[in-house]
Amino acid sequence: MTSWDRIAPALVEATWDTAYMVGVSMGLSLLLGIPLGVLLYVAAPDGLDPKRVLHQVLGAVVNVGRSVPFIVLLVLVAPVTRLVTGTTIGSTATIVPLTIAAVPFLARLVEAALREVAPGKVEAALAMGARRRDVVRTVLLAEARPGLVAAATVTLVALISYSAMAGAIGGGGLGDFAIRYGYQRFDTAVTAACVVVLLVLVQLIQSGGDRLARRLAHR
Amino acid sequence: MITLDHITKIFPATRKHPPVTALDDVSVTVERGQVMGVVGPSGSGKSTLARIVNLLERPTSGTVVVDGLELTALGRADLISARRRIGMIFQQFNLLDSRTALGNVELPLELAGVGRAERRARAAELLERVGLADKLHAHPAQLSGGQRQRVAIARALAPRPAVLLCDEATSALDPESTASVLGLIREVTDELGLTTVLITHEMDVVKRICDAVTLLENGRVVDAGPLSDVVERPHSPLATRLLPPTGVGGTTDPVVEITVGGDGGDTVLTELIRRFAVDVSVVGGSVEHLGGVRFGRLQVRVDGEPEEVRQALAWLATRTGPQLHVVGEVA
Repeated sequence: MTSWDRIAPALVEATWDTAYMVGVSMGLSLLLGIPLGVLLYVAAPDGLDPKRVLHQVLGAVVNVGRSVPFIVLLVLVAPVTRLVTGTTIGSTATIVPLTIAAVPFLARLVEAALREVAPGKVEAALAMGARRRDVVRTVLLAEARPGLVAAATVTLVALISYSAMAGAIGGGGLGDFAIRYGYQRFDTAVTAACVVVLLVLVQLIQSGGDRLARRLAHR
Repeated sequence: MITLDHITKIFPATRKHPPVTALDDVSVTVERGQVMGVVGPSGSGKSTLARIVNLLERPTSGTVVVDGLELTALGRADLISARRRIGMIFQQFNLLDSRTALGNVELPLELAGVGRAERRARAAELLERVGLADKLHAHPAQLSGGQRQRVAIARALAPRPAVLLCDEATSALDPESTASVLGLIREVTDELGLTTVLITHEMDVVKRICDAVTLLENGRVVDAGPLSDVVERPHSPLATRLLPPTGVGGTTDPVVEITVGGDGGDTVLTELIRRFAVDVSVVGGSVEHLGGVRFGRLQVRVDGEPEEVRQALAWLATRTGPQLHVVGEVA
């Protein structure tokens, strides 16, 4: 029998752990991913300020980051993780690979969202004497807001799923909990409980993101 | 006011296309206070021409002078401030969906560093001027096409420009909105002493509000001039487009085609009948309003004694000069 009165507090704690890992790495990803996405857009051959070499280098870095499976990335960046956090296990340590995985992911989505802004709007701004940084701020980022919210939502959901994977190598949070209390103890009910929590989290995030994007759309 | 001097624009080859010469040695002058129509079929280079005026597109060769300033010689920072003197509106309006009408009109002022209270007041005043006093807080999605173009016009006028560029500004509008937007463009041009360049593929737009017109074909100027001059050259490329031939044929009677109207040319026919013992019947024709002036292209048959008819036609030729064109043969 599953002893829920012992498991439940641990499950709550694991949920908080996940929220912490995902929250911090999401914050860092926004901080780094949005500028990177803007740079990818601006430096593109048809962008505001085409920079061939820069665009190709950035594109290559982003592609590498996106093509390494997360579970491999976890192991691969372990030295960096140790350098930054002093350890490779636990929730704080997991933030490093999570951020490294999410930044290129988000950057590509940001780039795509900016591409959705009609080029005519950029042209109109340039025609009225906007500098390039004005265009980014007042036109691109403002007009792409619904798309940016959608991009952030998708990234957040991906981060939750990544963070669960990090549990496999001692990352903490819900994934770790499901493996230790569910899988290793052959207690399917616990695993199922984790799945339910994850499901609810993802559902909440997705519907919240959708609602915000709709509100910003003004269409 | 605007002088485009020997402009050539060649778009370099891409993987898919060979290089394209969009404009080939084009020179255009627009006088202060005029509405200059630039017409031509699609692909004739007229939109490129509009974008050359504010250097959204840099010409491969040639110079652009606007309001005494040679834009092609300016550095980036100077060009940015010069552009604030050139308003532009577009076929697709290009308003920001994320801003209200007011916010859209404020944008150019914001870019120019105008304070919040001042730009708000100016934007509201302009939106009132274009007839949208009740739509200040509407988002573009809540406005009709005509209303959106009015917001765009207010936005273009916000920094008090000297020049207004209209790139197919009415091509996405229904006939009613087209008429009112064109009317508005004419009004603000006159009120504010603007110099306006109107890119269009519709001759009708030119007829309604332009003072002068330039016809582009394949990147070259085929015909150009003030509207009143252009129509008095009946077989020029522009005249045939502005006043299409009425197409009466298959008669052996002396049918002559004359252009009446303009400066006191209305009385040609009455004078003809008074002077000569001939019958005059109008067999075809059309009347157009060009830039507020009425022009008619009439095809008339002149009957009577052969000698009298001959003299009448000879007089017509001297009276109307090159406007006279004998369609049929004298029997």
